[in-house]
Amino acid sequence: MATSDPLSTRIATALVRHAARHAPGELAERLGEEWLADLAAQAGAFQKLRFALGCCWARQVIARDPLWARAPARSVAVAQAAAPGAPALLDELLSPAPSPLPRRTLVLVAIVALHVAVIAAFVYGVTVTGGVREQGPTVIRFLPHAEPKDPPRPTPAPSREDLEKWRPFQQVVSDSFDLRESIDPPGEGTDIAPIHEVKPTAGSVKRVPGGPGPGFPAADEFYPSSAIRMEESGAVSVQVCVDQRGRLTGEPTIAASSGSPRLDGGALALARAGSGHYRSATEDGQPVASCFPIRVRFALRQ
Amino acid sequence: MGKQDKDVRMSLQTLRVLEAFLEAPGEQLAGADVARRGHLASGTLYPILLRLESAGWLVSRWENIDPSDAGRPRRRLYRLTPTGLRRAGEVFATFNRAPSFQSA
Repeated sequence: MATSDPLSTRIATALVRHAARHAPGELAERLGEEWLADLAAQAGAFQKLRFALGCCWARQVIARDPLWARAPARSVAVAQAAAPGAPALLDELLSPAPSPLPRRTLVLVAIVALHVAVIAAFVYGVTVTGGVREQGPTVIRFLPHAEPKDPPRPTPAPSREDLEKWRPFQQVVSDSFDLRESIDPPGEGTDIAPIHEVKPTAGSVKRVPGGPGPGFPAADEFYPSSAIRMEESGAVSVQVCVDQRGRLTGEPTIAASSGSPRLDGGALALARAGSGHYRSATEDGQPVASCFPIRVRFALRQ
Repeated sequence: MGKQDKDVRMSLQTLRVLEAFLEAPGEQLAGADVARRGHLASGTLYPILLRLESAGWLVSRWENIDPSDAGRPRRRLYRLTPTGLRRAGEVFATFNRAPSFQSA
Protein backbone atom coordinates (compact mmCIF):
# COMPACT_ATOMS: atom_id res chain seq x y z
CA MET A 1 0.00 0.00 0.00
CA ALA A 2 1.46 3.30 -1.08
CA THR A 3 1.85 6.30 1.20
CA SER A 4 -0.24 8.18 -1.30
CA ASP A 5 -3.32 6.20 -0.29
CA PRO A 6 -6.00 8.25 1.39
CA LEU A 7 -5.85 8.54 5.14
CA SER A 8 -9.11 6.68 5.47
CA THR A 9 -7.66 3.69 3.61
CA ARG A 10 -4.59 3.63 5.81
CA ILE A 11 -6.71 3.84 8.93
CA ALA A 12 -8.94 1.03 7.71
CA THR A 13 -5.92 -1.11 6.89
CA ALA A 14 -4.43 -0.50 10.31
CA LEU A 15 -7.72 -1.43 11.98
CA VAL A 16 -7.97 -4.66 9.98
CA ARG A 17 -4.39 -5.62 10.77
CA HIS A 18 -4.97 -4.94 14.45
CA ALA A 19 -8.17 -6.99 14.50
CA ALA A 20 -6.57 -9.94 12.72
CA ARG A 21 -3.49 -9.78 14.91
CA HIS A 22 -5.63 -10.58 17.93
CA ALA A 23 -7.71 -13.31 16.35
CA PRO A 24 -7.51 -16.75 17.95
CA GLY A 25 -4.55 -18.97 17.18
CA GLU A 26 -4.08 -20.14 13.67
CA LEU A 27 -6.84 -17.91 12.34
CA ALA A 28 -4.86 -14.71 12.81
CA GLU A 29 -2.66 -14.99 9.74
CA ARG A 30 -5.42 -16.29 7.50
CA LEU A 31 -7.99 -13.70 8.57
CA GLY A 32 -5.46 -10.91 8.18
CA GLU A 33 -4.76 -11.76 4.57
CA GLU A 34 -8.42 -12.53 3.83
CA TRP A 35 -9.73 -9.32 5.36
CA LEU A 36 -7.13 -7.14 3.67
CA ALA A 37 -8.06 -8.66 0.29
CA ASP A 38 -11.77 -8.05 0.92
CA LEU A 39 -10.97 -4.54 2.19
CA ALA A 40 -9.36 -3.80 -1.18
CA ALA A 41 -12.66 -4.72 -2.83
CA GLN A 42 -14.56 -2.06 -0.87
CA ALA A 43 -15.34 1.09 -2.82
CA GLY A 44 -15.25 4.40 -1.02
CA ALA A 45 -13.78 5.63 2.22
CA PHE A 46 -16.97 5.08 4.21
CA GLN A 47 -17.28 1.44 3.07
CA LYS A 48 -13.65 0.75 3.91
CA LEU A 49 -13.96 2.17 7.42
CA ARG A 50 -17.23 0.37 8.02
CA PHE A 51 -15.68 -2.88 6.80
CA ALA A 52 -12.65 -2.41 9.05
CA LEU A 53 -14.75 -1.70 12.14
CA GLY A 54 -16.82 -4.75 11.29
CA CYS A 55 -13.68 -6.87 11.25
CA CYS A 56 -12.85 -5.58 14.73
CA TRP A 57 -16.27 -6.73 15.88
CA ALA A 58 -15.93 -10.05 14.04
CA ARG A 59 -12.65 -10.70 15.79
CA GLN A 60 -14.34 -10.40 19.16
CA VAL A 61 -17.24 -12.64 18.13
CA ILE A 62 -14.84 -15.27 16.82
CA ALA A 63 -12.73 -15.08 19.96
CA ARG A 64 -15.79 -15.76 22.12
CA ASP A 65 -16.95 -18.66 19.96
CA PRO A 66 -16.34 -21.98 21.76
CA LEU A 67 -15.03 -23.37 18.49
CA TRP A 68 -12.04 -21.06 18.64
CA ALA A 69 -11.92 -19.99 22.26
CA ARG A 70 -9.42 -22.71 23.11
CA ALA A 71 -6.76 -21.28 20.79
CA PRO A 72 -5.00 -18.32 22.40
CA ALA A 73 -4.60 -15.22 20.33
CA ARG A 74 -1.12 -14.43 19.29
CA SER A 75 0.25 -11.42 17.56
CA VAL A 76 1.16 -12.28 14.01
CA ALA A 77 2.70 -9.72 11.81
CA VAL A 78 0.52 -9.42 8.75
CA ALA A 79 3.06 -8.73 6.03
CA GLN A 80 0.57 -8.41 3.22
CA ALA A 81 -0.23 -4.87 2.13
CA ALA A 82 1.85 -3.29 4.84
CA ALA A 83 1.02 0.33 5.37
CA PRO A 84 4.31 2.13 5.96
CA GLY A 85 2.50 5.42 5.81
CA ALA A 86 0.16 4.64 8.67
CA PRO A 87 0.45 7.17 11.42
CA ALA A 88 2.95 6.04 14.00
CA LEU A 89 0.73 7.31 16.76
CA LEU A 90 -2.16 5.18 15.53
CA ASP A 91 0.09 2.13 15.34
CA GLU A 92 1.21 2.74 18.89
CA LEU A 93 -2.34 3.18 20.08
CA LEU A 94 -3.40 -0.05 18.41
CA SER A 95 -0.58 -2.07 19.93
CA PRO A 96 -1.73 -4.45 22.61
CA ALA A 97 -1.42 -2.82 25.97
CA PRO A 98 -1.47 -4.58 29.31
CA SER A 99 -4.88 -3.30 30.20
CA PRO A 100 -7.51 -5.06 32.26
CA LEU A 101 -10.12 -3.70 29.86
CA PRO A 102 -8.83 -4.36 26.31
CA ARG A 103 -12.30 -4.15 24.80
CA ARG A 104 -12.82 -0.66 26.11
CA THR A 105 -9.47 0.45 24.77
CA LEU A 106 -10.22 -1.04 21.37
CA VAL A 107 -13.60 0.63 21.19
CA LEU A 108 -12.10 3.97 22.23
CA VAL A 109 -9.40 3.68 19.58
CA ALA A 110 -11.97 2.75 16.96
CA ILE A 111 -14.10 5.76 17.84
CA VAL A 112 -11.11 8.09 17.69
CA ALA A 113 -10.05 6.58 14.36
CA LEU A 114 -13.53 7.02 12.93
CA HIS A 115 -13.63 10.66 13.99
CA VAL A 116 -10.21 11.24 12.44
CA ALA A 117 -11.36 9.61 9.23
CA VAL A 118 -14.53 11.70 9.05
CA ILE A 119 -12.56 14.91 9.66
CA ALA A 120 -10.05 13.86 7.02
CA ALA A 121 -12.87 13.18 4.62
CA PHE A 122 -14.11 16.74 5.07
CA VAL A 123 -10.59 18.12 4.71
CA TYR A 124 -9.66 16.12 1.63
CA GLY A 125 -13.13 16.23 0.14
CA VAL A 126 -13.72 12.47 -0.04
CA THR A 127 -16.98 11.58 -1.65
CA VAL A 128 -19.06 9.17 0.40
CA THR A 129 -21.00 6.63 -1.58
CA GLY A 130 -23.30 4.81 0.75
CA GLY A 131 -25.09 1.53 0.45
CA VAL A 132 -24.17 -1.88 -0.81
CA ARG A 133 -26.76 -1.78 -3.54
CA GLU A 134 -25.31 -0.45 -6.76
CA GLN A 135 -28.55 0.57 -8.38
CA GLY A 136 -30.61 3.60 -7.50
CA PRO A 137 -33.65 3.60 -5.28
CA THR A 138 -36.72 1.81 -6.45
CA VAL A 139 -39.84 3.59 -7.42
CA ILE A 140 -43.00 2.10 -6.05
CA ARG A 141 -46.33 3.75 -6.46
CA PHE A 142 -49.66 2.64 -5.22
CA LEU A 143 -52.31 3.08 -7.86
CA PRO A 144 -55.74 2.40 -6.41
CA HIS A 145 -58.14 0.98 -8.85
CA ALA A 146 -61.16 2.89 -10.04
CA GLU A 147 -63.90 3.27 -7.51
CA PRO A 148 -65.93 0.08 -7.43
CA LYS A 149 -69.57 -0.08 -8.33
CA ASP A 150 -72.13 1.13 -5.87
CA PRO A 151 -72.64 -1.49 -3.20
CA PRO A 152 -76.07 -3.07 -2.87
CA ARG A 153 -78.47 -1.09 -0.78
CA PRO A 154 -79.02 -2.43 2.72
CA THR A 155 -82.11 -4.50 3.23
CA PRO A 156 -84.78 -2.19 4.66
CA ALA A 157 -86.09 -2.94 8.09
CA PRO A 158 -89.45 -4.79 8.07
CA SER A 159 -92.45 -2.56 8.18
CA ARG A 160 -95.24 -2.92 10.69
CA GLU A 161 -97.36 -4.53 8.00
CA ASP A 162 -94.74 -7.22 7.43
CA LEU A 163 -94.57 -7.96 11.11
CA GLU A 164 -98.31 -8.28 11.24
CA LYS A 165 -98.05 -10.99 8.63
CA TRP A 166 -95.81 -13.04 10.85
CA ARG A 167 -97.68 -12.54 14.06
CA PRO A 168 -99.92 -15.55 13.48
CA PHE A 169 -96.81 -17.66 12.92
CA GLN A 170 -95.35 -16.54 16.19
CA GLN A 171 -98.55 -17.42 17.89
CA VAL A 172 -98.49 -20.84 16.29
CA VAL A 173 -95.00 -21.40 17.57
CA SER A 174 -96.05 -20.32 21.02
CA ASP A 175 -99.04 -22.60 21.05
CA SER A 176 -97.12 -25.54 19.68
CA PHE A 177 -94.38 -25.35 22.20
CA ASP A 178 -96.50 -24.03 25.00
CA LEU A 179 -94.18 -21.11 25.42
CA ARG A 180 -96.89 -18.52 25.55
CA GLU A 181 -95.66 -17.23 28.82
CA SER A 182 -92.15 -16.67 27.62
CA ILE A 183 -92.78 -15.64 24.06
CA ASP A 184 -95.15 -12.76 23.66
CA PRO A 185 -95.81 -11.12 20.38
CA PRO A 186 -94.39 -7.67 20.28
CA GLY A 187 -96.57 -4.93 21.62
CA GLU A 188 -98.57 -7.06 24.03
CA GLY A 189 -97.35 -6.13 27.42
CA THR A 190 -93.68 -7.02 26.91
CA ASP A 191 -90.55 -5.01 27.54
CA ILE A 192 -89.76 -4.98 23.89
CA ALA A 193 -89.77 -1.47 22.64
CA PRO A 194 -92.27 -0.68 19.93
CA ILE A 195 -90.96 -1.07 16.50
CA HIS A 196 -90.37 2.14 14.73
CA GLU A 197 -90.90 2.00 11.08
CA VAL A 198 -87.56 2.43 9.37
CA LYS A 199 -87.60 3.90 5.98
CA PRO A 200 -85.00 2.54 3.58
CA THR A 201 -82.28 5.02 2.74
CA ALA A 202 -82.91 6.93 -0.37
CA GLY A 203 -80.14 7.36 -2.88
CA SER A 204 -76.69 5.77 -2.97
CA VAL A 205 -74.40 5.29 0.03
CA LYS A 206 -71.31 7.49 0.09
CA ARG A 207 -68.49 5.00 -0.17
CA VAL A 208 -64.77 5.66 0.02
CA PRO A 209 -62.55 2.73 -1.01
CA GLY A 210 -59.74 1.51 1.20
CA GLY A 211 -56.04 1.47 0.53
CA PRO A 212 -52.62 1.71 2.18
CA GLY A 213 -52.79 3.92 5.24
CA PRO A 214 -50.38 5.65 7.65
CA GLY A 215 -47.57 3.43 8.79
CA PHE A 216 -47.75 1.19 5.75
CA PRO A 217 -44.33 -0.50 5.46
CA ALA A 218 -41.71 0.94 3.18
CA ALA A 219 -41.82 -0.90 -0.07
CA ASP A 220 -38.08 -0.72 -0.81
CA GLU A 221 -37.37 -3.66 1.44
CA PHE A 222 -39.78 -5.86 -0.50
CA TYR A 223 -38.18 -5.40 -3.90
CA PRO A 224 -36.59 -8.88 -4.19
CA SER A 225 -32.82 -8.71 -4.54
CA SER A 226 -32.98 -11.47 -7.13
CA ALA A 227 -35.34 -9.38 -9.25
CA ILE A 228 -33.05 -6.38 -8.93
CA ARG A 229 -30.09 -8.43 -10.07
CA MET A 230 -32.12 -9.64 -13.04
CA GLU A 231 -33.23 -6.03 -13.64
CA GLU A 232 -36.88 -7.00 -13.49
CA SER A 233 -39.55 -4.36 -13.14
CA GLY A 234 -43.31 -4.34 -13.46
CA ALA A 235 -46.63 -3.81 -11.74
CA VAL A 236 -48.54 -6.29 -9.63
CA SER A 237 -52.17 -6.03 -8.58
CA VAL A 238 -52.81 -7.68 -5.20
CA GLN A 239 -56.31 -8.31 -3.83
CA VAL A 240 -56.55 -7.77 -0.07
CA CYS A 241 -59.47 -8.05 2.35
CA VAL A 242 -59.28 -5.95 5.50
CA ASP A 243 -61.56 -5.34 8.45
CA GLN A 244 -62.62 -2.02 9.94
CA ARG A 245 -59.28 -1.69 11.69
CA GLY A 246 -57.25 -2.14 8.56
CA ARG A 247 -56.14 -5.67 9.40
CA LEU A 248 -56.05 -8.45 6.84
CA THR A 249 -58.86 -10.95 7.16
CA GLY A 250 -57.42 -13.38 4.66
CA GLU A 251 -54.38 -14.21 2.61
CA PRO A 252 -53.63 -11.66 -0.13
CA THR A 253 -53.90 -13.02 -3.64
CA ILE A 254 -52.54 -11.97 -7.01
CA ALA A 255 -55.22 -10.23 -9.07
CA ALA A 256 -52.94 -9.31 -11.97
CA SER A 257 -49.45 -10.75 -12.24
CA SER A 258 -46.42 -8.79 -13.33
CA GLY A 259 -45.19 -11.80 -15.24
CA SER A 260 -42.34 -12.28 -12.80
CA PRO A 261 -42.82 -14.72 -9.91
CA ARG A 262 -40.20 -12.82 -7.94
CA LEU A 263 -42.00 -9.50 -8.23
CA ASP A 264 -45.33 -11.18 -7.46
CA GLY A 265 -43.79 -12.70 -4.34
CA GLY A 266 -42.43 -9.33 -3.27
CA ALA A 267 -45.82 -7.66 -3.71
CA LEU A 268 -47.54 -10.41 -1.68
CA ALA A 269 -44.98 -10.05 1.09
CA LEU A 270 -45.55 -6.29 1.14
CA ALA A 271 -49.32 -6.81 1.29
CA ARG A 272 -48.97 -9.21 4.24
CA ALA A 273 -46.62 -6.88 6.08
CA GLY A 274 -49.13 -4.05 5.73
CA SER A 275 -51.73 -5.76 7.92
CA GLY A 276 -52.91 -3.31 10.53
CA HIS A 277 -51.81 -0.33 8.43
CA TYR A 278 -54.47 -0.35 5.75
CA ARG A 279 -57.04 2.40 5.53
CA SER A 280 -60.38 0.60 5.64
CA ALA A 281 -63.18 1.50 3.28
CA THR A 282 -65.92 3.70 4.65
CA GLU A 283 -69.63 3.97 3.99
CA ASP A 284 -71.11 7.28 5.00
CA GLY A 285 -68.01 7.89 7.05
CA GLN A 286 -68.16 4.60 8.92
CA PRO A 287 -65.31 2.09 8.44
CA VAL A 288 -66.40 -1.21 6.98
CA ALA A 289 -64.70 -4.45 6.11
CA SER A 290 -64.01 -4.73 2.44
CA CYS A 291 -61.83 -6.21 -0.23
CA PHE A 292 -59.95 -4.11 -2.71
CA PRO A 293 -56.96 -4.35 -4.97
CA ILE A 294 -53.70 -2.50 -4.47
CA ARG A 295 -51.34 -2.01 -7.34
CA VAL A 296 -47.64 -2.18 -6.64
CA ARG A 297 -45.15 -1.05 -9.23
CA PHE A 298 -41.50 -2.09 -9.02
CA ALA A 299 -39.20 0.01 -11.16
CA LEU A 300 -35.48 0.53 -11.23
CA ARG A 301 -34.31 4.06 -11.44
CA GLN A 302 -31.26 4.26 -13.74
CA MET B 1 -28.59 -34.11 12.89
CA GLY B 2 -24.89 -34.84 13.30
CA LYS B 3 -22.62 -33.33 15.86
CA GLN B 4 -21.31 -30.78 13.42
CA ASP B 5 -24.84 -29.58 12.62
CA LYS B 6 -25.30 -28.55 16.22
CA ASP B 7 -22.65 -25.90 15.70
CA VAL B 8 -24.65 -24.14 13.00
CA ARG B 9 -27.01 -21.73 14.68
CA MET B 10 -29.71 -20.72 12.22
CA SER B 11 -30.23 -16.99 12.26
CA LEU B 12 -31.63 -14.67 9.65
CA GLN B 13 -28.08 -13.65 8.73
CA THR B 14 -27.02 -17.29 8.34
CA LEU B 15 -29.97 -17.85 6.02
CA ARG B 16 -28.86 -14.89 3.93
CA VAL B 17 -25.37 -16.36 3.66
CA LEU B 18 -26.77 -19.71 2.55
CA GLU B 19 -29.05 -17.97 0.09
CA ALA B 20 -26.07 -16.19 -1.47
CA PHE B 21 -24.37 -19.54 -2.08
CA LEU B 22 -27.54 -21.28 -3.25
CA GLU B 23 -27.97 -18.79 -6.08
CA ALA B 24 -25.13 -20.60 -7.84
CA PRO B 25 -24.21 -23.68 -5.81
CA GLY B 26 -21.03 -24.47 -7.74
CA GLU B 27 -19.73 -20.94 -7.67
CA GLN B 28 -16.86 -19.87 -5.41
CA LEU B 29 -17.40 -16.63 -3.56
CA ALA B 30 -15.14 -14.34 -1.56
CA GLY B 31 -16.37 -12.81 1.65
CA ALA B 32 -16.92 -9.47 -0.05
CA ASP B 33 -19.14 -11.16 -2.67
CA VAL B 34 -21.25 -12.86 0.00
CA ALA B 35 -21.58 -9.59 1.91
CA ARG B 36 -22.81 -7.81 -1.20
CA ARG B 37 -25.32 -10.51 -2.15
CA GLY B 38 -26.65 -11.03 1.33
CA HIS B 39 -26.50 -7.38 2.45
CA LEU B 40 -24.41 -8.34 5.45
CA ALA B 41 -21.83 -6.39 7.43
CA SER B 42 -18.34 -7.77 7.87
CA GLY B 43 -18.82 -8.03 11.63
CA THR B 44 -21.65 -10.48 11.06
CA LEU B 45 -20.41 -12.28 7.97
CA TYR B 46 -17.02 -13.72 8.86
CA PRO B 47 -18.05 -15.48 12.08
CA ILE B 48 -20.84 -17.14 10.09
CA LEU B 49 -18.47 -18.23 7.31
CA LEU B 50 -16.08 -19.72 9.83
CA ARG B 51 -18.91 -21.47 11.63
CA LEU B 52 -20.27 -22.98 8.41
CA GLU B 53 -16.79 -24.03 7.37
CA SER B 54 -16.08 -25.74 10.68
CA ALA B 55 -19.42 -27.55 10.38
CA GLY B 56 -18.47 -28.83 6.95
CA TRP B 57 -21.09 -26.88 5.02
CA LEU B 58 -18.47 -24.70 3.30
CA VAL B 59 -14.95 -25.28 2.13
CA SER B 60 -12.46 -22.51 1.43
CA ARG B 61 -9.19 -22.07 -0.38
CA TRP B 62 -6.89 -19.28 -1.46
CA GLU B 63 -7.41 -17.78 -4.89
CA ASN B 64 -4.89 -19.14 -7.35
CA ILE B 65 -3.38 -15.88 -8.59
CA ASP B 66 -0.14 -14.01 -8.32
CA PRO B 67 -0.91 -10.80 -6.40
CA SER B 68 1.88 -8.92 -8.13
CA ASP B 69 0.52 -9.81 -11.55
CA ALA B 70 -3.10 -9.28 -10.59
CA GLY B 71 -2.37 -6.02 -8.81
CA ARG B 72 -4.43 -7.00 -5.78
CA PRO B 73 -4.20 -9.39 -2.84
CA ARG B 74 -5.37 -12.96 -3.31
CA ARG B 75 -8.85 -13.61 -1.89
CA ARG B 76 -10.20 -16.42 0.25
CA LEU B 77 -12.87 -18.22 -1.78
CA TYR B 78 -15.71 -20.22 -0.24
CA ARG B 79 -17.87 -22.91 -1.84
CA LEU B 80 -20.77 -25.08 -0.68
CA THR B 81 -19.93 -28.71 -0.01
CA PRO B 82 -22.37 -31.48 -0.96
CA THR B 83 -23.28 -31.71 2.72
CA GLY B 84 -23.81 -27.98 2.91
CA LEU B 85 -25.95 -27.98 -0.23
CA ARG B 86 -28.15 -30.74 1.14
CA ARG B 87 -28.44 -29.26 4.62
CA ALA B 88 -29.18 -25.79 3.28
CA GLY B 89 -32.03 -27.20 1.23
CA GLU B 90 -33.38 -28.96 4.32
CA VAL B 91 -33.19 -25.77 6.35
CA PHE B 92 -35.21 -23.80 3.84
CA ALA B 93 -37.70 -26.64 3.58
CA THR B 94 -38.05 -26.57 7.37
CA PHE B 95 -38.98 -22.91 7.25
CA ASN B 96 -41.50 -23.84 4.56
CA ARG B 97 -40.19 -21.25 2.16
CA ALA B 98 -37.98 -21.24 -0.87
CA PRO B 99 -35.04 -18.84 -1.15
CA SER B 100 -36.22 -15.62 -2.72
CA PHE B 101 -34.52 -16.27 -6.02
CA GLN B 102 -36.46 -19.52 -6.40
CA SER B 103 -39.92 -17.94 -6.05
CA ALA B 104 -42.37 -19.70 -8.29
